[in-house]
Amino acid sequence: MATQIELRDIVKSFDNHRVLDQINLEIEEDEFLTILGPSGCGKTTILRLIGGFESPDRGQVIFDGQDITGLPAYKRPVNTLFQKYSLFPHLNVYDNVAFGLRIKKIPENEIKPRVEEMLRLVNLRGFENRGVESLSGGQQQRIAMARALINRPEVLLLDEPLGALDLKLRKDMQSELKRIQKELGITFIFVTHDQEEALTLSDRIIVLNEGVIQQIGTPIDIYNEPINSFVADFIGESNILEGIMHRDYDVSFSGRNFVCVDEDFYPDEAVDVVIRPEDVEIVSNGKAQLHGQVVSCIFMGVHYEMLVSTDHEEYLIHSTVPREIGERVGLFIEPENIHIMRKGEVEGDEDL
Amino acid sequence: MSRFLKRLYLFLIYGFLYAPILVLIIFSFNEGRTRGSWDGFSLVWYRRLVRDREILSAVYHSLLVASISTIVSTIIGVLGAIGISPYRGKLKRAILGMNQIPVLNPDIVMAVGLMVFYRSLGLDFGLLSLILSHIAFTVPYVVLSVLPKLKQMPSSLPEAAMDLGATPAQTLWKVVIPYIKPGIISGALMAFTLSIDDFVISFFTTGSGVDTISTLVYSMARRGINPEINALSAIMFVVVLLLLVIMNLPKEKSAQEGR
Repeated sequence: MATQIELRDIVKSFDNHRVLDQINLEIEEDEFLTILGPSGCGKTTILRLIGGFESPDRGQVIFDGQDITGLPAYKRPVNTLFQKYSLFPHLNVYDNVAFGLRIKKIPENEIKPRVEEMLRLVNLRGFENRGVESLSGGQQQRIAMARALINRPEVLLLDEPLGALDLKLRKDMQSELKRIQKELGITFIFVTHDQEEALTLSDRIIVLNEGVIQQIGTPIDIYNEPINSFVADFIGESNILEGIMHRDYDVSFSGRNFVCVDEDFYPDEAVDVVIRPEDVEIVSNGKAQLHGQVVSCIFMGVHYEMLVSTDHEEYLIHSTVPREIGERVGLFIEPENIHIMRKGEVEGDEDL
Repeated sequence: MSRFLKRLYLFLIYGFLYAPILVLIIFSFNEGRTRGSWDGFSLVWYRRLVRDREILSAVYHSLLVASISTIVSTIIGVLGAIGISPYRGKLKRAILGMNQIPVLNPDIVMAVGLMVFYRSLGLDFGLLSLILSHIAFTVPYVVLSVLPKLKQMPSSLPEAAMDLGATPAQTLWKVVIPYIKPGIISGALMAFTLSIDDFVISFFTTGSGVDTISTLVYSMARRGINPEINALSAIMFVVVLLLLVIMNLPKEKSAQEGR
């Protein structure tokens, strides 16, 4: 795989507010890359920089080795799927999908089969003459996708395209997106604030917060080895605890020492300890590392969500076995499920 | 009883508004010269009207001035609105305020102002000065009718067009103009009716020999009432009525599409 798009030292401010701060990013050919972060973190701005709708204050956008920082949107080999579909209301479905090809002055007899092919791809054959305002949200989004993909872009930018759809439809469209990306074999750069969506769809995820890239990695890496407490908290629920890393494989938190699998810290370095709720086991007293009292127990469908109060903090625990409120329980955590994080570390720090 | 009173009230109001026009139309078919007595049905005044060169040339001037000024002010107004719409905050309010002053300003101020202005430039009073004046006072109305449509348009729409390879000019023609078309049409119709309707500004900025319908009627009325005016006014009323119907048609249609 080769690098297709590269962002170098991108800085962007709006009204003296720095939205992107020193963004460095390499995007591989044909990958499904997700930019994940809370609203206002700058993720849409990155997409608009690649699409050509914004220009950076500093830094470069490189496409296939060429600097395209100053290239206007209509000359870039990328297409965008907008958040609000943005179909042209004065054109019907066929004319919307054909728009890009007509701009390129492609003959009509060549356009027709390609529009039909695209409508087949998005499962909307026979919709050619419908007005776009008569379509449902999901259908409009498919037409918008057909309209973008008919230009055979090398990269498709997707700006929270599923945000306006209801849950069921969103799930359907997620698998649809994945299928289309596989079928066409093109790069997808997908922006979302939905961590579940990101984990399901992506080859790689970029976690962004306040204009700084926190972590880049595969969904499994990011879920299992969050680099800092922000990522841990944003990607699913977590117990984030204050701890001291005494030496390799030896950490203390919640008032006692634990064996862990992390190394290379300063002696007695203050760290954040992240433990996923499903990794805290409720055990009999003999095996227990910590003792506590059940404060609440809520049925969540697949599991029960419990809060257990120990002497020092409260633990969030997911378990399939419910416990009585007020019951005293023992807690046990496997060494490999204890994740140690340097405080405030972000992607690229270890290189310094 | 109260329902009867309501009906009566409505009837009286509309009666008051439309009685003069009705009387005018009826008397345009009167055989005699006076408006006091009915001497029998006749088309004599209409026949005279279409042979009256003075009136025909005024109609021609009115239509010519209205057509040219409508086309030019629509182009200027649409481009102006597109230029104004991206501005935000104080600057936008200032620009919009400047646009609205000619709308609120009494016509007479505009008229005298234009007259003095042309004189200071040494411009001859005639068809050209008339057309320029009509462009000047109709542009703000076009801007005001196009701006809401532009505001309504999501910014991602032109972006989507450019994303698909359209240059800014192509985006304007293929996406922006079609989207704001209802605003452009109603702006143009408004400019046209205002131009036909105008007396004050035309009176002060036209030269000898170039009369519009309204300035001609004014000078004829001073010489003594000529029933040809009745016929002409009746025709104008019917034309305006038709324009009004046309203006309201697209709105109804789009409302139905929305359902």
